[in-house]
Amino acid sequence: MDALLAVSEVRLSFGGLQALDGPSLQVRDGEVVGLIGPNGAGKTSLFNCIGGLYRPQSGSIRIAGREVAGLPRHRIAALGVGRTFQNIGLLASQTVLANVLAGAHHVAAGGWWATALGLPSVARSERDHRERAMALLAELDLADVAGRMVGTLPFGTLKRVELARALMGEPRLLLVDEPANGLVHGEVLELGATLRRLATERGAAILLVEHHMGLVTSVCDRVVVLDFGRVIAEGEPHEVARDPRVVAAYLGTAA
Amino acid sequence: MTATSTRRRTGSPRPSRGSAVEWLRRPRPPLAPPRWLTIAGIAVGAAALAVVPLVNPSYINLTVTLVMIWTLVGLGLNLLVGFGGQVSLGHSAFFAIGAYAVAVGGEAGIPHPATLAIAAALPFLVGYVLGLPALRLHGLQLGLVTLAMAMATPAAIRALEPLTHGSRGIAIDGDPPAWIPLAHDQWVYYLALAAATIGYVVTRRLARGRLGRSFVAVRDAEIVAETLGVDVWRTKTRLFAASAAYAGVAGGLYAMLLEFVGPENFNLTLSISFVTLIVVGGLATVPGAVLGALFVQYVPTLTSSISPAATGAAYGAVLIAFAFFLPYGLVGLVRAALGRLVARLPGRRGT
Repeated sequence: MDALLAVSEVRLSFGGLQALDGPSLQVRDGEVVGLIGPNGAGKTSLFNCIGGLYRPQSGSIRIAGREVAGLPRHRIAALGVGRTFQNIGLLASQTVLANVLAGAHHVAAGGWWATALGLPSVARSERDHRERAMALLAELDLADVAGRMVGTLPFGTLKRVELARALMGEPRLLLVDEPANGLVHGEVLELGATLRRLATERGAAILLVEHHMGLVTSVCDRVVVLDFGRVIAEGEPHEVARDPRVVAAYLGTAA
Repeated sequence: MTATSTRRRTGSPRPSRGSAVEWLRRPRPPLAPPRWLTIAGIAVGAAALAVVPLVNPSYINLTVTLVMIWTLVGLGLNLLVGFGGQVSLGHSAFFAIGAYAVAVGGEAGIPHPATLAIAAALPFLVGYVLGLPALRLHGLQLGLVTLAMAMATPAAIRALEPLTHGSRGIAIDGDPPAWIPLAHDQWVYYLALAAATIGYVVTRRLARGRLGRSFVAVRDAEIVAETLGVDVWRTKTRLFAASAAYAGVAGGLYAMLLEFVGPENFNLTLSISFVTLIVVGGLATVPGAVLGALFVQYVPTLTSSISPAATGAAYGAVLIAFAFFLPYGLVGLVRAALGRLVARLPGRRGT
């Protein structure tokens, strides 16, 4: 009822292609929900609708009671939504620290006039967020790359930098798009533990798009399976993995 | 192939894997000098700048004032182009509006500091209004629209004859108020010094911290910027208007310095020199505006002794050379040259 995220019968098509065919799902505070499904099932489309990048043709997406569809994209962060991108959305020309600090944009102080006049509140906010950023980097084991240019770091590290940036905005809902993509096995386990800890310690709800079934089953409280833009199964990870419809969607059905 | 031969020729200045060109092209963090050096540098610089007009002949004051005027333009334009990533080839238009604000205001009997405030406010408003449609465009198209602005400026000045006196131009009294015991060149020098100092400090504050990061996000990845909560549209229009205000004040000071404005002062070449300034100084750096201003003031003086046409050729050659070898401008070169030295100084912050 009082779900943090309530997606209801969202429809989105690109030309003749129906990317989302009315899926509904809910995420409650502090819950970790996995969004899985074969390639082209509409996972990232749904993600981009929630993040405001796509505007669905019909249906509703409510975050903490606010309708997201029709809201300007830059207003969505203020609802408490943080996200990472499938192919890394970091600023390659900047250092890791600067990227992570950019995540604090909507929680930090400092408008144009206040900044131009050099008000102490701006300096204080900058100092506080710098400290928070360093603490987060330390927590995610990134402290020693804080001063490095993002363009020079490996993919797995950048995934964590992006996670740190999303956390800087103190999200209530964290949208994580394929975090295990490009990670080696050990890193995946570590990432799973980190996500789980974030959910319990910070009380952040996490919606996770992921292909790596090991990560999904170890981290998620609940799993929603999409296929052809529709929800075909939903429930506890182990149950869902045995669901014949899910197996058929992944492996194909015998004709 | 080329890379290896270059490395062999230059004998690799340090054990780097790349060639000399790669070494030059590498992005580098700003120098972080120790606090004592910063303070000493500012103190010496401020003392020198304060004394310059008192001990020099007026033609030297004139050129140093021009450097400060170009610096002001460069600071604003670099916020827009270097940090914000929005190309403008049309800032000579805002420079002209500022100059004419001072000229027309002077004719109406408004005192100098007040006309300078108008020279900031009017371009700000015009820039904001022009930016609303223009900034919907990206890259090349925005470049073309702003180029059209620069090309139309002299004609627009002539067309507004009742206000601007067309091709005859307007003579301006640039002398200080009677109670200030300064000559004309000294008075404008100090006004320009004050404006450039304020401009520098404000630019530095805007370019760092929360806003500076949002500019860079808008430049590098608009969608990511929006996801982080940056209002991309508002950021662009404000950057455009703010940079227009910088150019306007600079134009106003220029009018006071020359004591005359006419349409031919504000042609396309002026806009090109502004762009050259920020590219040579270093895009997305604050001190770059000073180095670039020195370049556009003194290099044409050198080249014109060869031929009047040499200035254009020199700008062209320099722009090409910087695009290939020094994408971070003279500031990048300074960082490359002094980075290691500064890092070894005692009393550095954060160590």
